[in-house]
Amino acid sequence: MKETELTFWRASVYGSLGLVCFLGLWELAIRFHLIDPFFLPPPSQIFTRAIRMTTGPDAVLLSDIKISASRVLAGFSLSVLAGVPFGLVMGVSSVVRATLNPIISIIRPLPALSWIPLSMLWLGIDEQQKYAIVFMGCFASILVYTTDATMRVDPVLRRAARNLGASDFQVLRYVILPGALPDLLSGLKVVLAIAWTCVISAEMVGANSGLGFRIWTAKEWSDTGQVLVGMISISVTVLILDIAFRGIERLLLPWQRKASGT
Amino acid sequence: MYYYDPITLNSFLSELKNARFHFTLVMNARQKNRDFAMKHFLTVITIVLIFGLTGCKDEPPKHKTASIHEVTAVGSQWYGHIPVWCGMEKGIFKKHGFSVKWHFIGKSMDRLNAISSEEAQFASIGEIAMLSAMAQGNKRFYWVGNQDIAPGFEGLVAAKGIKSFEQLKGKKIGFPFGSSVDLTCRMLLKKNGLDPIKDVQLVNLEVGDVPAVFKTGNIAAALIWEPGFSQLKAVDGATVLGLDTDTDVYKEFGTMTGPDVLIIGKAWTDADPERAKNFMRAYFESLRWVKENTDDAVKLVAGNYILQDIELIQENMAKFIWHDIDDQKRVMSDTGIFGQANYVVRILHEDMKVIPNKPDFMQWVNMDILP
Repeated sequence: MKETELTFWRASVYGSLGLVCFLGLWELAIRFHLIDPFFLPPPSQIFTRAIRMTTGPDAVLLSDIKISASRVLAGFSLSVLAGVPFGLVMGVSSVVRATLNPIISIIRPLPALSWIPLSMLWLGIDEQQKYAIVFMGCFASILVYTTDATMRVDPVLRRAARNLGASDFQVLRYVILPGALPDLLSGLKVVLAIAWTCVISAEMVGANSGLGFRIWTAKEWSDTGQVLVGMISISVTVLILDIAFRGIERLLLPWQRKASGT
Repeated sequence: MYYYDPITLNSFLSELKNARFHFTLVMNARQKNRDFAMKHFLTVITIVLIFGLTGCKDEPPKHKTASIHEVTAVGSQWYGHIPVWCGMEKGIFKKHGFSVKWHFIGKSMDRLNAISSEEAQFASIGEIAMLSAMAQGNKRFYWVGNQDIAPGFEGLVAAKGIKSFEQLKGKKIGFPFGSSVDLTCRMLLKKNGLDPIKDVQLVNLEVGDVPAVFKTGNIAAALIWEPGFSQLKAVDGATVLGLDTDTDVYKEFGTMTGPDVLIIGKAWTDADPERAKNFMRAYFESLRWVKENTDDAVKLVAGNYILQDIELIQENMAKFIWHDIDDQKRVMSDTGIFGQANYVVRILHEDMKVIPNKPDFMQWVNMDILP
């Protein structure tokens, strides 16, 4: 079968149609009593709930999104600041790589949730603890993505730069960093989504604000509608952040933009 | 105008041919591997079936016998679950034809969700969680009893240096949201002139985390029920600022803010009401045993189900009032827990605005299955 490339608008129309059909089927399934609304409230009810949580005297949704987003950005930025330089060093130095690899291998598989008991003891239940959970969930992944991206840079280019008299810093600045950047940014995009799962875990315990707190509290009051509003808010926020990240990607990788002709 | 180089094209075509040849070889090899794997897969399946069938021949599965019904009961470390533990340990459930499996689930709402999912059949939970679920339209359970009353087992404990409610202004208070202590906290604060929303910061904590977070000094005050309540009181310099017995609920109805209630899966009950009735008979027989043999019951649960000193459990159990089967008609009435539930529903809906309506909880009450 011949695969044809869809235009942006056509793809958007298909996407919207798919979404409308999905929501319609969901609504109908509940209206025709195929699904118990206690288990899954209909989209119309979730929409009404979202409106109530966004406007009026009890509006908390927007401030929760803001609080969670700021926690994500703080923890994520800290892990980028620590993970990228470390990853670059590990990527270029086999000695550092060999030394740190066992430690990274131990930390990397630990889910953010497993850090909660210790982080509460070490840092309490304030903002630092939430940042720390996001940091611990993101740091090792960023480190690994950066190391891999650095190692994938063509060694011929590195050697050529050296033969032409480039210093270590110049090789790093003009060869390794631009070469690793596309892979690194793709990795960061993935880790940013992971950061959201971390912040939600962090806010479920010892918090009084944020989307995770809102979802968890709704669960305690058996309010599945609010749980779903919280979940959809996370998806929408991550989507918006993803679009913003793509903008940054385009800004930092002008040569890719030229290559793709956009 | 474009020209093609015939040498380059030829070599390209030759490469393509080679690639196709390799592709065929690879595909043949993959097919052979697939045949080999399928053959082995079938052999393994046959062996497993043979072993499985012959293995089952001598020993019929115990849980499939007609007289034994499997029941999953869920609960926490709270004293209100003692009748289930003793019923299991003393063989009372077995005598009535039930094999009861116990699962630890700390929070009432999580226990109720386990019942709603039909993975568990029986639980004792806090009344607040039950009323919330009713208000949200969860019709997957019946309310079948109120097995105990234990006022004074939960309260607001303040950290060192805090001696009055006034001193809590602007500080953090931690407890599990959506539980009885949620209501106790808000009622105590209001009674002492503090607005729970504006004057203090309420922090949601997991049941098991409350004592640890309080000990580390991250919150100024905390609320939890036993056994955590004793741990809070034991912290150096801690002061009990208020108990559930200081609330209007206790003064009006003589109960804690969120008494223990018994719930049972609706689908499980409707499928065989007689079985459910037998189960409740076994449960209340076990409760009566606990009531009549409190010291033995304490010995049985200490260290196994409740991780507290035996002396402390004994002391607490002496204050515990059990409602056995003969008491149910009296306590499950308008002058008993129903009146209290109406009062609590009003607070949850009108004052706290945490439930969307005032549920008619009588729709969930099923006294027919009580023996």
